[in-house]
Amino acid sequence: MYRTQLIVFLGFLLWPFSLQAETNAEIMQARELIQSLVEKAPAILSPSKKSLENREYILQKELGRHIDFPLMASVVMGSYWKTMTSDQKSEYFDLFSDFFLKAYTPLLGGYPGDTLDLRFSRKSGRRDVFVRTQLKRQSRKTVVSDWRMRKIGDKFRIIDLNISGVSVVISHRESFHKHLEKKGVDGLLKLLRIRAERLPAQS
Amino acid sequence: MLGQKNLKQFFNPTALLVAGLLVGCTSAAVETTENPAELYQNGEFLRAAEIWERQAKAGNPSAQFNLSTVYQSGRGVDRDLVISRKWLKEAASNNYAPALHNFALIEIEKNQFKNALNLLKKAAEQEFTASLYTLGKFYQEGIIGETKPELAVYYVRKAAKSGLDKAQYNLGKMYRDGFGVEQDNEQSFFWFLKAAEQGSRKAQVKVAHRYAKGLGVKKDNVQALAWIYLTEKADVKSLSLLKTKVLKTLTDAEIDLAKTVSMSLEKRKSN
Repeated sequence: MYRTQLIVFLGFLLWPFSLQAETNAEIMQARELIQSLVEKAPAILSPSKKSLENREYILQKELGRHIDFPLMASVVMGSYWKTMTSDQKSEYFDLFSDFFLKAYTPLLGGYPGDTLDLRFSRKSGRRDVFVRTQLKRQSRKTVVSDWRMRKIGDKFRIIDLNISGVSVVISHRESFHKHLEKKGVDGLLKLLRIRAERLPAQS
Repeated sequence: MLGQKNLKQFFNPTALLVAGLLVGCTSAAVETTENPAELYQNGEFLRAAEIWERQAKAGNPSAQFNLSTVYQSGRGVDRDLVISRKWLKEAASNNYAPALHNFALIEIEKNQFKNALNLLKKAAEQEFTASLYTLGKFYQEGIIGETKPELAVYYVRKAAKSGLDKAQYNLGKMYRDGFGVEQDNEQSFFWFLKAAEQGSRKAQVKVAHRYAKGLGVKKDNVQALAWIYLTEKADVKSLSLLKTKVLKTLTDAEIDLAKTVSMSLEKRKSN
């Protein structure tokens, strides 16, 4: 009897430490994911027979595998999400993920002259972990990014990105909602389609 | 130590002129050996932007356009939409088709449809494929005024014939739906196949289904499976049901053949 009480008592004393160990393990898991992407970036982007567009596409796909786009896309759309048809959702999903990956994959660095450092990582609330990266480029402002990650199943997935303290999901939600209020879901899809037709630098 | 005579020789105007010419030649040589497009392809965005800036200021429209894109996307330079627009307008005023194209898209976002249409038409007159396609899409979706199916087909077909995969895929859909043309499954398959051969994932999915159904093409489950294998390599998972169905109809030898066909399709695409 006395022995059982002692075990329960010790367990109670050690409980915060085991929680801390679990938290640290989660932070490490999230950090390792970002670190692996950061390490892959220079190898994928380094000049080869493949075009820049092709190399960038490969890295975008690699990053995209770890992003929870359904969650991100629905948060950005908010109450409009429920009103959308499955065709609208599918098109919006394609356009939004394509746009997101093109715009934010460069934050992983990997181009000549880029210096990407992994900074501190921290837990946020019960479920999320922020992993901070700092990108330095010649003649450019330093960019500090916090990758917000959430454990879904047994894997961490990116659910948002804070750039210099500003959430990408929230800022897109605000700008999209202004458009949605005026032109509706079809209007927003048209806008995203138009932007997708923009041409990059020509060789 | 430089003596008086040596100093005079050093500052001799002829010697200075020759030296100047030599320096000039050297910098010209550096200028010609550094190809900004190549630097850009290698990810050396800042160096590419610096050269484009010099060329843009000298009035080169393609450099003006490229400079506008790096400022728009923040490549090599911090993002600056004002500078980007300035160079874009400059390049468009020089009638440079890619600039007319991107400028038109900005005008559409500002609801300046008439101006946008004129800019796109100017680019399309130069047979600029991207603008031919965009113009077709805009007529198709009624982005600029009403939907105009015949005009949509006219421009999308031109872009498809120039080899643009998304135009070929879209033309395949137009033939499938009878949008602006008479419904034609064979023509639809023809254009889906063209786009699929160029690597369009959506078109590859359509081609796999078409071979399995025999719609617009003779039914051929070996070909269907070959295209399914190809899409699987690109992480497309929407064909898993079709794969199960097709596999049931094939012998081991036919499945091996499908794998070989798939590999040859992949090689053909990468060559």
